[in-house]
Amino acid sequence: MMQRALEGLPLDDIFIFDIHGHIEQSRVIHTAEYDAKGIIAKLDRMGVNAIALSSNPALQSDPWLGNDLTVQAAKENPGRIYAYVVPNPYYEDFDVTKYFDGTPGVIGIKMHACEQMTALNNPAYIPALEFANKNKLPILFHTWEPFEVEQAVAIGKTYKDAPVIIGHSGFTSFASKQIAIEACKSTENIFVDTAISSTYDGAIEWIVGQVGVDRVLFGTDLPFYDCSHNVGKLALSKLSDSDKIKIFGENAKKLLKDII
Amino acid sequence: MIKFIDANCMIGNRMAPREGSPVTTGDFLEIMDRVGIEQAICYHSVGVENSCLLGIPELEKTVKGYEDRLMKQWVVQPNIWDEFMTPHMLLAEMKKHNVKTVRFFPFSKQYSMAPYSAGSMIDALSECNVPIFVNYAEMQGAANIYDLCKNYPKAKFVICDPGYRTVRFLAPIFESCDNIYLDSSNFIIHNAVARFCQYVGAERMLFGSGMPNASAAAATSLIRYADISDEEKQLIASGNIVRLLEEVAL
Repeated sequence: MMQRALEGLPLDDIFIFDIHGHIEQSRVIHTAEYDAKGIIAKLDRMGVNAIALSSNPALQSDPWLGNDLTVQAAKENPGRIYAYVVPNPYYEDFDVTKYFDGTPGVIGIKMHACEQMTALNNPAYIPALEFANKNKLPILFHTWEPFEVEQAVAIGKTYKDAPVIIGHSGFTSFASKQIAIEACKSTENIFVDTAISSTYDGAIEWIVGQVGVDRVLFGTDLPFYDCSHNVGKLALSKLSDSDKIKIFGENAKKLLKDII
Repeated sequence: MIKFIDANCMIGNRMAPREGSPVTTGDFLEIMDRVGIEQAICYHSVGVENSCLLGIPELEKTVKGYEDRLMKQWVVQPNIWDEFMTPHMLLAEMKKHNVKTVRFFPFSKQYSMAPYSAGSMIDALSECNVPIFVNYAEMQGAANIYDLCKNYPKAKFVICDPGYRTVRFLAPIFESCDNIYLDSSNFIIHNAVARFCQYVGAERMLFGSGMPNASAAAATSLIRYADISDEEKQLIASGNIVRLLEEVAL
């Protein structure tokens, strides 16, 4: 694996599932080739089998428009793009459950409370969380600040049937990391991902040492991060190939076995 | 295989190394070997976190024995009330110690890069074609980077650690100023390297790892997997910095 990464070749001899991506343009960050075609071209270049993503319009603006775009991308690209639906706490008539009508590729919920100018413990999110828990759907949280990680962990401890993914692994501060690590150690359903903001060499090895390899999922945060950034970071890390294979996709396959 | 020379690496003991990150010179060399980086231009943490003057001998000690792989970069500052060195002294000392690049930290060290403050230092460095490195965040806004390039048209500036939120700020500066280069470390958004080559040109980007606060494994992968020609990859990976270093005339 390391040799292929050093030669810039796709890692297409292993299963790679990216559990943390986005589609469409962002308000605050220059993005290009952000549609399904551009994303799949990048997956092919890197040897990534599939990506689960939410749309930036769903996170930043109109929940109907944004989630429709995500689901449309999943429908049109079966087996390559999977959709997270983003709940919106401001519209009582916006119902996330309607997207889970058997449409293939719609797999879970993405929560990004700070982008929506609220908090994860906003009661308006409860119906979406209860639905995810009842149907054992994964919930991916954007978390940077310690209070965000705390709130995501509290949700994970309340809704124990839903796999909960602490997006970015709390790597923006010591306190955030500690909360995420402790949660992984003390629960069965809480995971971290490799979309580590402000990452560095040694970060993945360190988090695996803290929470165990089975609790770490591969995520890129594409298109905010180029896919090669996170693929290279893991493929060229000091972890064993068996650990890398688990993180790249086998853990996600196990976690989402009835969904993907 | 692509030959990588890292143009953005900080070595030395720092106040708060992050968990699992490289600390010793051996740690850095192990990472360089593992991810395929032949050489690195290194500045010292003490020069950033504390004193430019104290950082210089610390850098000498840290790279001693590894000079074939670790090239020295000094952290410098304007000579306010003889706090540092005169421009003339700086150039003489750089020549004596085989140092060909410098780095400023105007925000962390609280001074101005404007001509009334850093002018004599930057003018002297640019007369000798010494590339001047400065982190994006240290300039406190893209307008200040624009002013920097316009105020010192003979100088060559390398903007480091641009991060993922800066394209809309930086792209117009690259169109307006031909004396600015971009460090690739943390220039991480989807297809950013290829788009930079398309709109600006590969000759204006320098490979940087951003170690120890960023990942050399990730940084090399950004270049290796970029949808650009092999010639463009080699320019970014080492060709451009080699050219800039060859042009230094101390």
